[in-house]
Amino acid sequence: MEIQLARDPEEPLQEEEKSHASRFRLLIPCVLAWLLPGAGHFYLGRRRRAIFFFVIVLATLTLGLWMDGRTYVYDRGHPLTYLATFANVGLGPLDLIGRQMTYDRMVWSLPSDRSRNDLVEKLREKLRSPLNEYGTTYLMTACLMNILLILDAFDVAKGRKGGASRPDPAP
Amino acid sequence: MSHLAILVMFSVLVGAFFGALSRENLREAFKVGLVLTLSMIVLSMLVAYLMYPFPLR
Repeated sequence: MEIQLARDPEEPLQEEEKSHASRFRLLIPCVLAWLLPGAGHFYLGRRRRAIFFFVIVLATLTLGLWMDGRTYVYDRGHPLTYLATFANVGLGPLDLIGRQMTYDRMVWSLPSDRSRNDLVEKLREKLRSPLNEYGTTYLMTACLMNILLILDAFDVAKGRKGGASRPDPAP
Repeated sequence: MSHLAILVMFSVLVGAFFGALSRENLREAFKVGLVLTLSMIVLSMLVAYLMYPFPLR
């Protein structure tokens, strides 16, 4: 004779809800870190560190723009521009400033119509600057720093590193 | 702006960033940042010195 243990029918649902809530808690610092450098760490209670990261990333970005650095746009003929554009987008909304300063508009790929020549000419203007290569390196470094900050915020939220000081909500 | 100043600024920023990212303790973070900064400056100058005899074009 088989004995079936009585189970609470709502139990699996609660587990699922907890899992969703947990995923959401991990997502918030990552999204904040993407929106503003250091914001993910600030949310996790690491405030001094967050301000330090914000200053470092912003200083690198500003110096890059000041040295006529350029952001990348995706070009079908050059597949590596995919990676560079992805790295640029990792800086979040601050990337828009770089695009505006490089191309005078928000653009992520080289258009195939007549406006392409206009865009290429803007790019050439940047390339003529003697500091362009340095500026682009600074700009790209700021973007990669922010991607690392997003990953670090995820690790902290997950408890793999240091431990988040923000307490978990009561179940 | 001189190439050396750009190199030093870059090294300081990247060194400070990775120092703070990789260590929890302030003293240790400062130490790692300093080592990274100096390593980048010295190694870059060493590579530049080794490349000096090569023609530009």
